Amino acid sequence: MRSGSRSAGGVIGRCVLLLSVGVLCVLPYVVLVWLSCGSGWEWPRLVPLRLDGVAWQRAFSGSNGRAAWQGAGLSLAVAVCSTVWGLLISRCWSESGSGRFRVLLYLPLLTSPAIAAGCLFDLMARIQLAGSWLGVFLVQSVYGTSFAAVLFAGVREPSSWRREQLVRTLGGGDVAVWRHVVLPDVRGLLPLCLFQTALLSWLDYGLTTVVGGGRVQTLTMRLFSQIREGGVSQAAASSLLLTVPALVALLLLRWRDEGAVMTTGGPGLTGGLRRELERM
Amino acid sequence: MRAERIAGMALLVLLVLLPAVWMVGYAGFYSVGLLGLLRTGLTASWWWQACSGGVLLPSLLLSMTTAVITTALCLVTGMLLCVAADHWRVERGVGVMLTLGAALPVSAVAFVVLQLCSRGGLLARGLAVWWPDFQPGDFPVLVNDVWSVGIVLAGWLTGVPLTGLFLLSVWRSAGLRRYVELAERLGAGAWRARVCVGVPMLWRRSRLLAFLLLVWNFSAWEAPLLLGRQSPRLMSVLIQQSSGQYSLQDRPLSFVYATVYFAVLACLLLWLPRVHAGASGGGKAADGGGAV
Repeated sequence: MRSGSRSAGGVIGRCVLLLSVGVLCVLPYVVLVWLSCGSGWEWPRLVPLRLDGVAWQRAFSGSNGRAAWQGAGLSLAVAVCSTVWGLLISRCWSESGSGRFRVLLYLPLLTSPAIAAGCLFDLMARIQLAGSWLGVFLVQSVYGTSFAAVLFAGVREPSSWRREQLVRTLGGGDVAVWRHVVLPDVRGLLPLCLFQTALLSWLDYGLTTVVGGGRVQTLTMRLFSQIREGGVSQAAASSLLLTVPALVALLLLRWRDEGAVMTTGGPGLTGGLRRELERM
Repeated sequence: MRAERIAGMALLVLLVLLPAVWMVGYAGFYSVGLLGLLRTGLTASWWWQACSGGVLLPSLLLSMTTAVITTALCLVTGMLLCVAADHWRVERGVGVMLTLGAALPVSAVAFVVLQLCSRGGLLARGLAVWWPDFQPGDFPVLVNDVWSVGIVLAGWLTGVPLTGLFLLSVWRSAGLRRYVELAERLGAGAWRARVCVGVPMLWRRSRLLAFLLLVWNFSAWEAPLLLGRQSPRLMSVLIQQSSGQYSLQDRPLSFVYATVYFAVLACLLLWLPRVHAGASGGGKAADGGGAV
């Protein structure tokens, strides 16, 4: 991939570019580490009164540690179920092949989680799942499943159909079709889907705070409580703790596929849909 | 095969269609007094109250303006990065940096912006170190401000890694460098070739991303919750806070706002096929030059 073309801006320009991107992307980490290292941030101190690891000790213990473990368990459940359910839905979608179907699947993805949760809260209350882990799991799965369905439906190609027909002609059943056609087709996307849906759940605040009603405590819930209470060091430590799984997942995916685009930020799942977007 | 199809359809209905229909239907019916604890029978009073209250329109305009500005900034930055990083070594470095940025969740970014840009934040403290007379009140209001600078900044910080990584990936996979090289061989300068040839082709392929970014920025919640003002609030914050957080009597109003939000979303979704057609048509037209 070496460029034969003249580079725009020369060596200095490239260095400035790398530096700016570095500052843009690394500065938040530096700020978070700095804030989490001490306590006593009186005006106008840039250095805390006490440089201690109290925030980090608290981050792993008590309610914070419990919230982190519970959140991790919830993310795992949402990731696995959404991936399987999305795969099943994508098979129906591929068969119908309708464009309207595509918009339908995009609908939950495009709706703000906080607004969706506000509308779904009453439904959850009616079926007595508001304020429960199961309720939060279900509403998060709506988003996860839509994402997985959109992602997997993009990989179905005419050759997949022909191979499926071949397997059935040779006497294979559903299990054989899944083993020889479906799973090999989606194998490359499975880690991306699992990571992205797990991160969706791990970082979710809107759905958890409304549907969970304060009874379901995850790390994001703790982070917002700490920000509201003014616990700067604690909030910084929680933010970093929240970021670590995302960072590991992203670096692993990038190491596996250099073109992988996955994000955890506001646009959430868009990155995971790179292939779908490029296909369009 | 049949069982698989039935399971898929059942999941589609239960996990995608039912929630979507419920959200839109429940908000609509609640807002006209046909559902919920405060139902009064068919009435337009909540709509009248919402429309005449002077809250809805400013929030809608603020949400849309913030979304458009954030999306535009993200795309321009992403394209500049893409064009300037057109060298394999730089591209790899930028890719890794952007991956680091992409791992930061919105809540963490919003917290960082709050700690950096508030009047008692790290930037103000830095200035106070240089100028001993500097007071927190001398620092410009950048968070919870009139112009939503903090929200745009947080949106930009979370959006740039995504747009940057996506556009770099498109630049590489669509082989746009070949076209730039051709333009250079035909006499264009390095920068001109990239801006006049690469950027338009990149734009045609990133329309759908721009559309999704716009919708997501319009629906943003965590950053506006931390960095926005109490009035006007962004749509998501307005809807969530009026759905019984302060007074249960405001609950029907929140469903009026939610119905308006869904209407705007529906209009945007109706616009999606055009974006889609433009993106595919444009992409093909752009590649029409064929072999280079």
